[in-house]
Amino acid sequence: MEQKVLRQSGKALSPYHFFHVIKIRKKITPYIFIFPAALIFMTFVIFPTVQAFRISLFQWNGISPFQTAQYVGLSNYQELISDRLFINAAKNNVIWLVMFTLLPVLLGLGIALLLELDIKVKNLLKSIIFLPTAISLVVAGIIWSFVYDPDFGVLNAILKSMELEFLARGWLGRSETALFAIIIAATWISTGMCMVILSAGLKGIPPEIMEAARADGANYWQLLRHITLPLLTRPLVIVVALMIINSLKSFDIVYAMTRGGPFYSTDVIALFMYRQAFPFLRAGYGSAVAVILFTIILLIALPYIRRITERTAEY
Amino acid sequence: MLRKVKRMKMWHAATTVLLIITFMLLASALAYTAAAPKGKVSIAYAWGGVEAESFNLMLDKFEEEYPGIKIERMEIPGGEFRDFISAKIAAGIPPDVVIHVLPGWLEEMVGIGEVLPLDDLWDDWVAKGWYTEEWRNMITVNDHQYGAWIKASGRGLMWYTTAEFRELGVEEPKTWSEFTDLLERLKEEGKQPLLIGGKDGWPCKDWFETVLLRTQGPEVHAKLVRHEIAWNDPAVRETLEVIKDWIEKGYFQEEKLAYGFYEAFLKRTRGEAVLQHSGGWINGMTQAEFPMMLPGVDFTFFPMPVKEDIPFVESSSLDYMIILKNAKNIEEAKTVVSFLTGPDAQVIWAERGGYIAPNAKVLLTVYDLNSRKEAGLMKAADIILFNTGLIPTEMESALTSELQRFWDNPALLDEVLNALESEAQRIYGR
Repeated sequence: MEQKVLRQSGKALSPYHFFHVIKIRKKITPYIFIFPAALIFMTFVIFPTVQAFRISLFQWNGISPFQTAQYVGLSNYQELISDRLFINAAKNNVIWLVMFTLLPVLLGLGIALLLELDIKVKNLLKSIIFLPTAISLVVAGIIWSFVYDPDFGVLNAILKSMELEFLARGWLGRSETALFAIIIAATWISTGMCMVILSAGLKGIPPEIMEAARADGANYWQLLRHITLPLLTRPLVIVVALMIINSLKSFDIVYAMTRGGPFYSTDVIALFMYRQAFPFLRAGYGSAVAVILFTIILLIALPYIRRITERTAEY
Repeated sequence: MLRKVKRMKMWHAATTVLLIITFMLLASALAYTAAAPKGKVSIAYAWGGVEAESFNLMLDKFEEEYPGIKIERMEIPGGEFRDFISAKIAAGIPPDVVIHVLPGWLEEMVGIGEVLPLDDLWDDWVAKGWYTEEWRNMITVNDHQYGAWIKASGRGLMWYTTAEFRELGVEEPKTWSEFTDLLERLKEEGKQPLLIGGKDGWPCKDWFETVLLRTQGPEVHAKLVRHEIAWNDPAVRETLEVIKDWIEKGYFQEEKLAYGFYEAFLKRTRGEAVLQHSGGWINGMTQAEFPMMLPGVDFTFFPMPVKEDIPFVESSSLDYMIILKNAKNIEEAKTVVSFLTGPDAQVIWAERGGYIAPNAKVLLTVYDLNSRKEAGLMKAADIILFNTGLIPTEMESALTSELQRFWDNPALLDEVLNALESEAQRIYGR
């Protein structure tokens, strides 16, 4: 067949040339298949990222032609260091990072471990807990705004029915509770995802290891401490990294619930960036925030990416 | 056989790439053609509910009179409005006409060269007697008129239901001391005197502005919005001390930042508080929500009185229209703007309530009792001032947030004032 083709081309190829052509084609083919995805990725991810780096060195309103922008070097970054609202947003992001990493992961782990027990309706429970993950953050924000409503909200109604009326309040209208109220709403959405990943991790633990430990007399807590958790390290790292990235990217649920208020008490870096770039027409300054956020997320995401691309077996 | 399969795979890949490129080119071409309609004017505005309904009636009337021009109505939520317009301009597909209320934003847009001057149209409108030179001056930036007036509204008004006043045996206060006495009396009667929808932010700013005007006068106000006096100036401190006193006396409700303006409005109509500070638009809202309530009979307002020796000035919201410089249909947009700024269009909304026509040819007789009172008040005032929207957008945002902080905890008065001054120095000094 191959010889026939060669003959039809009118040129006789030496075996060396023939294999050389095949080798080149083998090399090129994957790139052709990757090209469409790469093109989209370059257009919508790489190019805007590079542009953001460039714009962050300019003072530009984001509307006028870029030629009108004024080169200011690193002064946007210098201004950020002393901007009290940026520092406030960064502090809130740290609270997000700690709470939004701990709460869904611990809850997800707890639920995943509970569902490993012999419960009849565990698939139904899993579906119910996973369901909020399918809801968009904006919709979840609106739902939880109703929950926190000071007059008609479920939360205050429950507190009142339990004769804890003194605890009832406008949860989103107070600076001391608003941020935590939003994080709890976000936790409601993310716990299901953590549970599913960790549940899959638990399923991957070879039962013979557990049986061997049990045979050696290990109790439930010893199994958890010395076998389950160490063998869950990989999915745990993935889940924690995902939660950290999501906490740093948090924007939509904050925008839907409080828009950063009251008085910036729920402001986060992404929202601060948006406010600078769009309403305040400071695209250069907003881009500087974007670059910083990008760098932080990249530093956190790199070990995660390395983890998920590792092909070595865990056991 | 293997080679044939490989060749087919390569053809498939090449075809996919070509298809994607063709699709992207087609999408760009379609986006471009969609951005350039003919005989069509796009108008972006932030009114919603009953206000949007009234405005749409004005647009319907225009389409009736100018059947060759179709209007694309872009109703954008207030919170996202400026961001939406900025994004549209940056994308090269701006709406033709934009309606906004903050004059500070107009100055910013003029500053970056995005607004078309309407000087020639203004010559015509002044010649027709639609507007006085004072109204023309108020829309002038750098000696050019960049906008046209479409809606006016008083802002420093205290709304109440007449039955409640009758029941309590109280009357509208005429002086500052009568006003403070009224607040105390309401409190003594076991009523909640005042209500604020602080969650939205802007009601805090409106309260501050009215108390500033009524206690310190228009000169201090004008200097402050231009940052000719500091935000921690004694005059500003005195203003906030008045409000602090009212908060500490329990005149305002407990949860000041838990409700927005609309929820506060509903709570007051349910009798949870007696007075609500608001602009004239509450007149239209009440008629829409409670059609049985007659304006001027069942509910009305009084302007917050001024302190002794302070001239009375009504702080006004004035909504203006601008035509963007890169609009696709400039001539048609000018026709629409001329129509909407004229008496035939403005009378439509004026008859529906919650609206004061800036056009001088709209007679007081078209209004309901409340609007007539409001229009009379605005015409009687010596100067009509812009609201704190005159300050730069970034400063306005800082002011709103800091005032929320103050309402939440008035003990932070000094901290709030110093934070405002530090923000002002950063923003104005840039």
